Amino acid sequence: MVEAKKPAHTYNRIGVDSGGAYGKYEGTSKTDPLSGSLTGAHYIWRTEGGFTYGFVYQQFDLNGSFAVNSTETTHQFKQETYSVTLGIEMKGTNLLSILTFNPQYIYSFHGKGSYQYEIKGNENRTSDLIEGGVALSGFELPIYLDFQTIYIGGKYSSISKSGPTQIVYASGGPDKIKITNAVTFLIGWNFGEKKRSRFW
Amino acid sequence: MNSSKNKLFFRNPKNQFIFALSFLFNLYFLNSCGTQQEEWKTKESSPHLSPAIVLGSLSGTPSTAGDNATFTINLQTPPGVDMVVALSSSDTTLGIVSHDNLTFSKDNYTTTQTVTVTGQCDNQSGGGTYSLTASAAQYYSSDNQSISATNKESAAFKVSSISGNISEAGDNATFTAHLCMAPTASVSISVTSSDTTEGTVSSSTLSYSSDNWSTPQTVTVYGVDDSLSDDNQAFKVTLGSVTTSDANYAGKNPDNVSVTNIDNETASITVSALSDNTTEAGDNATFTVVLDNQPTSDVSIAVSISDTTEATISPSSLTFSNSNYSTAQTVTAYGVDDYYDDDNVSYTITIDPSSSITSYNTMTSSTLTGYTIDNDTAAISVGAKSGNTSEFVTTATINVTLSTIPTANVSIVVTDNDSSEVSVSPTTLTITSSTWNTTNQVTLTGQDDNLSDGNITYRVSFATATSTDTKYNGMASSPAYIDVVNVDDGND
Repeated sequence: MVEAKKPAHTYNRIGVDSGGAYGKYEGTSKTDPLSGSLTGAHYIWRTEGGFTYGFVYQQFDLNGSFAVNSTETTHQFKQETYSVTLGIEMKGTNLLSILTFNPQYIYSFHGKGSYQYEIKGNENRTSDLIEGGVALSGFELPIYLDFQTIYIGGKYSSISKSGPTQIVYASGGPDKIKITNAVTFLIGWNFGEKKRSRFW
Repeated sequence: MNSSKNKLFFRNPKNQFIFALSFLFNLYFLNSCGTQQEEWKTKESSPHLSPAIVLGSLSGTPSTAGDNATFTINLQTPPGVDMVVALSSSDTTLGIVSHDNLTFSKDNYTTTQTVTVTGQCDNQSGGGTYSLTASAAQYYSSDNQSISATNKESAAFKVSSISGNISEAGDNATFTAHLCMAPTASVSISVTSSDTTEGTVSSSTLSYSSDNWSTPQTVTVYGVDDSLSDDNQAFKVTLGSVTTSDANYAGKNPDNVSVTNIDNETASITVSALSDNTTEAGDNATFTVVLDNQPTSDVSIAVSISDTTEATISPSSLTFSNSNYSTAQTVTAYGVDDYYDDDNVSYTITIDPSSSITSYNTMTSSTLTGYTIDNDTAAISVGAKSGNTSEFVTTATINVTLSTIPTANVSIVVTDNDSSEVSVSPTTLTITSSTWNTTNQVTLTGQDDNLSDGNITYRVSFATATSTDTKYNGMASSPAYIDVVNVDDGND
């Protein structure tokens, strides 16, 4: 029996994701955990062969605090990045075919961020706002249910590079701020000429 | 056909991967055009640092001989407001700090500021250990920060400053002196005055042993009275000629003490009153000047007058030496004659002394007030006519002058009572400050009336003057009119 050749088609995805993000503030003598939120938007092209590539905008907002001598210091770190992604979409052909994995590498091409700390207690002071360029790179694993027009799921991000290279203070430091990972809920819309296709 | 080829190209997953990879790398290079990951720099401190005063170590060892050392100070974190850090020594008889406090701001809190510690020789036991403390009450968590300092014993002399000025009126002053380290043998110091005409000392020698080396010995300085106006005189009490077999002290000299003897002969001059008023008619006035005290050097006195259009003085400078200071010198004021009716005018004569003696330079100038009596009175004089006029059109003139220089133009309207016999020109005569006593002519021209009317007398009148010079405004001419005859030509 001769199987008819399946046509290969491409389609596009656009969506948003939101969830928690985690990181750390590394000083010369101690490290403080940071946590907060990640909000993002993506636009992805899918090729006939299952490769995906696209643009991603992400905004991180992380906080963390520590207390010494009845004085609490709160870190406030924000960064937003514009990145490109390259990945591969994997889905089956059976009933589970709507379950889709899309491991991808993310690499920023533009980013900016800011850091400020606030001291409350015996001393009450807010530091100057420190701003500058930031980067973001790492691996992401979106897992979603791919319906005909929408897809919905979650994403885990393992971030290898983020924030500024370091913060050089007039006294103390230099210190580093790093975003380590994030877990988000995602939803989006498929458009273009979408037909069921598979990578394997 | 090309589009079908492109479709075939993108149908190949390998080509798709290459295309996606190319896309990624192109954007990677875009990265170099945008903001990249940067190192952030700030004047802030790391959030892990707590507020603290940072003291550096002492650079050396201060000593009883006055040797000093330094240490640095800065803050670890930026202060919320400008922070004043107080500095103190736990024992100022051993060492003192150069600053009572230092201020740090948010912008300079990491910049080290230097404090100098100077060893003192005020402790009865010589050297010792003490602490230097920095504190800032508002810098919330900073405990006082201290460093330890040692005052090394060294052979030196502690001479206090003089307690005050001495004076020719009998005021005395004192100072003390002692050693800074116990001697191994007795130490004697000679005490002399550098100017015994101004001050003398109570002791000619100070002697110290291993028992009394740290006990301050007092020297009294007495002011010497003279009869000279010589200003306050500075001189020194010389401490020197140390006599001892102690090698640590041999060859060393204590500091000398500066003393000032306050003069009680005040710089003053006596200026007499003016003998009289000066006048424009040539009367002069005089006054005399004399010094009240004998100066040690020449005193020059400049004499000036405020209005040289009213009076002049001579001489304009007087000189008194320490030999002629008590002989009065005379200055004469001469009245200046002017041609203004300006009434009696006052003037001020200033007598201003100067000398290398400071007290004469700083004394207040003396002044005298005089008057120059005026001898001028404003008047308008109408001169005699030059002759009669005639119907042959002959003319006559009348000249008008003022007795004083007017301060503004003076205008006089000239009229006649018979214009058929005479024509007057000008009809308004204007006299200025430059023509007040020269030619201001009115010309009368006889008129031919073609009548055989014989000689006719007509009157030329001068109205009261008008001027912004109040002396002339409204003044009548003298005489107020002149009668002139116009001679008939007899042809009609």
